[in-house]
Amino acid sequence: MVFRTSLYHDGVSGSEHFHRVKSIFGEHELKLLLSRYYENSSTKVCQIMKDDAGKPSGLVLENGQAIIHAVSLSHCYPYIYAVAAKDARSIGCDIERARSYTQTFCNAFLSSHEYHYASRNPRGFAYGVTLAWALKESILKALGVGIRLHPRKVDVHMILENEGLGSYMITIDEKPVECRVEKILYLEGYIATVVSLE
Amino acid sequence: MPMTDAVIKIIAEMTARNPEDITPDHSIAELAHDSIQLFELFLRLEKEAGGSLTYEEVAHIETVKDVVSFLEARQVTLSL
Repeated sequence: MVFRTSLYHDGVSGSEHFHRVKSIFGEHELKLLLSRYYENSSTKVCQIMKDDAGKPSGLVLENGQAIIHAVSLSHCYPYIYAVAAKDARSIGCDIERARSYTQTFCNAFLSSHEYHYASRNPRGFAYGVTLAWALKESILKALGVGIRLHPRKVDVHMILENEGLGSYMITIDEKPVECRVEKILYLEGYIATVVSLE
Repeated sequence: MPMTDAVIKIIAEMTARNPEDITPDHSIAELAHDSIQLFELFLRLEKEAGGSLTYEEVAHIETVKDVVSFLEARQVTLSL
């Protein structure tokens, strides 16, 4: 899959202002990403549309032809992470801050297998749990449902075990689904992931 | 405690906001600072409802007043 990502760091706004403007900034980042696919084109119009469930997609009008691109957006103060794919396959991204987690929180969204592999993350437990969350949310966004579906229903233990890019057969609500981990980005205190679904 | 006040109290606690800054029209997703906090909020509401709501039911609610309406329609008493 051909895709582009953008990581926008808002070093100016406070967190409250960031939350008010993050959607506008995010949409702007997605339009910039889409426009870069058509830099040599004479006419282009980029729009971000959302379906009834809120899943975004990118519409580009090039010489009167409508082209749909898969896009995804995530915010975690002070970052905005955006991804736009060249085609319309399902894609999802997430960026999260690594933090300390309660056992109750971990038990609520991790299986015992996932907990085991998250605990063995070489960067530490907080990064392991954050990676698990970011992968699950990216997958749920690619599905178009977000965390309206319980994250525990997405089993990512095979990805956590290998912690590498590539294709994995995971389960969502106990059904097998082929998923591809496109990117895992470690920042100081944050993790961003991009996944696509077949 | 009236249901609206109880729901706002829970959301204020979970999102570290002043209850007076939260109105019934606020979007739940906008009040949470990120998706992990939103998930924790859904879990808390699910717990406070004493098992009478599923996670998926709670997670489809959009605004504070929707939470209140949903809980009142189910005759749920929050255990605050």
